[in-house]
Amino acid sequence: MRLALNEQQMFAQRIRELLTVRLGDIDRSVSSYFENLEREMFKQTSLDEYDTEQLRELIRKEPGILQLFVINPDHQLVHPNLNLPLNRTEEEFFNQAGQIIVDRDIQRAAESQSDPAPTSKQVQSTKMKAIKPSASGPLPSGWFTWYWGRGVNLIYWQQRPNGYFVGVTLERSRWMADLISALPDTPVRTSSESLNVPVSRIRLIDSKAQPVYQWGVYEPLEAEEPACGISMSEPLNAWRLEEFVPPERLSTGTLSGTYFNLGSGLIVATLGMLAVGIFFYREYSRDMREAGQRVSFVNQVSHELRTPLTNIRMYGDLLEHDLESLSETDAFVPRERLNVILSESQRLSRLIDNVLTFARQQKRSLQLKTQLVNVDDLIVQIVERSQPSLQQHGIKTELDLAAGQDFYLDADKIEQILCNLMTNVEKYAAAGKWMKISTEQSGGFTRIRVEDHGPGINQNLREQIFEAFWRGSEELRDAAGTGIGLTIARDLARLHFGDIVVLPTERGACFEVRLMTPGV
Amino acid sequence: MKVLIAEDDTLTRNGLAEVLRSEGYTVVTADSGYSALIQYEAHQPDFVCLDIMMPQQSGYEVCRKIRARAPDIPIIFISAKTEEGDKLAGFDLGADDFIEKPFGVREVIARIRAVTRRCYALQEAKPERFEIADLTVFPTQLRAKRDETTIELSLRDVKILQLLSTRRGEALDRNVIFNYAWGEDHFPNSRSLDQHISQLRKRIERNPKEPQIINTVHGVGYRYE
Repeated sequence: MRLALNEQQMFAQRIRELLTVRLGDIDRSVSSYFENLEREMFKQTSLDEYDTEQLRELIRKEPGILQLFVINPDHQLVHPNLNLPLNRTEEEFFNQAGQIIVDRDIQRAAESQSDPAPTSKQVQSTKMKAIKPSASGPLPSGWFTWYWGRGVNLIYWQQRPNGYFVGVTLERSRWMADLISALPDTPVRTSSESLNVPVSRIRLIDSKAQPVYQWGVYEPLEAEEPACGISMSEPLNAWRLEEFVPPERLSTGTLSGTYFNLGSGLIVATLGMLAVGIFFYREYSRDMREAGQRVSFVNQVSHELRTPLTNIRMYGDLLEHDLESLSETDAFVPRERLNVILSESQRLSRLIDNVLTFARQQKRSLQLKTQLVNVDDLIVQIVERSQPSLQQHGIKTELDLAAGQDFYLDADKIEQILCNLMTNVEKYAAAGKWMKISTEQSGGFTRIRVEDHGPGINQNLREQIFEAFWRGSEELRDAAGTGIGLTIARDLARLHFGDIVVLPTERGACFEVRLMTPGV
Repeated sequence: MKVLIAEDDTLTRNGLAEVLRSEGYTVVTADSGYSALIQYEAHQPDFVCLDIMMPQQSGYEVCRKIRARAPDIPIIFISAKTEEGDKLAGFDLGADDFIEKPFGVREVIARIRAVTRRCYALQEAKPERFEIADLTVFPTQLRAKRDETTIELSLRDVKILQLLSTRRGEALDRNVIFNYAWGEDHFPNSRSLDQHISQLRKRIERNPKEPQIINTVHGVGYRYE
């Protein structure tokens, strides 16, 4: 009986030792993170001179640096320069951390190379490290840890070869996030196969005994003691790492044997697969949720835009009606201006429709609403509505319509396709001053061609131009637009079981819209 | 004919009211779902224009409650909610039409006239047609015909033509025509009347500069010979 008890205690002790090794691994990964940070900070702050504006610019550029200070060899604060107006963060920094500087804690810490004992109650942690070898030996450097505001704050400082001290207050949220991402999210390596136990909970505890972060599937009881714990290395040496395991893990040594290990292995494998399944399910659900939220957001914004747009259009129309009572001469200039307002409001309306269509296409919720349509009549109406804008761009329109027969098509979507193509002519080919729209029915398709005398499209780019947000040359990049017009036009044509292609031409560009209309 | 416009955006509501008044309708407005129901009870309109997203009660809710009281009343939804589901919900509740924002005035007028024709079809004892010069006017259809040409008319156009036709040969004072076509709750405005006659002539006269149907009587008003 005594033998069995001893055996069990030995087993529990062995497990605790191995768990401690595991926590040591975690602590080393945290230390490694801070060592990298020290090197990074040393590099960032290696400046030839300590100009206030240059230092402020450095702080602006580096999200990890909250504030920076420089003390000269005469122990005077060079930055923040108290002789100049301080900005808000400098003032806050000085109010919070000024005592460290005024009390010359850093100087004392540097002088205590031979005696590393802390010299001030402010100094929670100092250490000497050879960051960069110099002729006179390693340069003093160290960490200050103290509390204000929402929690722990870290200052890393170094003495430079010229005798200056440069210190960096780190942005807490940044280093905390980095630190947490540096922690292992699965049980770390084990020294023994029998310790391959993911059923545990590891906690990172701050100096106020509050858990900062925890992970692992085991849920300890409120007053449960950890199976093991270690103090962390600098600069977080006031923090601890603690690991909790189910009590039976420490007491089943003599009872476990092969069957237990096999069973726990199977459980581990099952739990692992379950965890992977849950992970992918959650990722998928999140993607779906985010996609839904994006579409909902786009709908909401579009709705908000439509109301003011309605008022612009409606009052524009009312004004147009009012102008009818004026003489032609008096009404000429106001009508010209009003036409600009109306055609621009229509353009904005089309842009909103495009964004909505794109969002719906992303959600795969675009649908056709077909009705019996005469494509030629429809084109005449569309071109008529677009005339003010085309004329404004000096584009003469030629129609050659020979489709003739009526088919079940979605008139709104055909209008959207044509408006997008005509908008492109206005944007990129207005210099050609000409646009031709022709139709025919052949090979089971109704074909609508939109031609222009603009700069044309390079043969290599005839597919790329249909990609969302694609912009060609610098010249094209300067043109206003969302970069989704052609993508949408093609998507809508494909909804009709057709396509849009660029046809070779001698001059300018020619887009052919194909809409499947069997029997022609 | 009386119309209730329920729309929470003031500019849209006022603009729509102006458009409908210019067409010859008597307009009642509401800025919320709750107010729409009160106005409906108080004025018993001939048809209703409803925004969907309104404070207190949505347009859908208002539609459902009005439909419970008057199953045949024409209801038009005017909304920026243009998803298929929104429209289907509206039509499921028995909406007669759905106008998407942003809309143009011409589109609204065309749809309102279509609904008005349906309203007349529900009513009885309306004269089916009357002649004025070479025009045949169909009041309940808000249309006139000359030869094979159809001319779209507003409610106000029909009223003016009806008055001129029934009092053929009389020089009608501007105020008389205005009160008849605009209603007595409008302050007589000869400029508005003259503008309206000018626009109407463009549509119904063969040569608007030498009118044969609506003749000007200087210092008085208008006459149909």
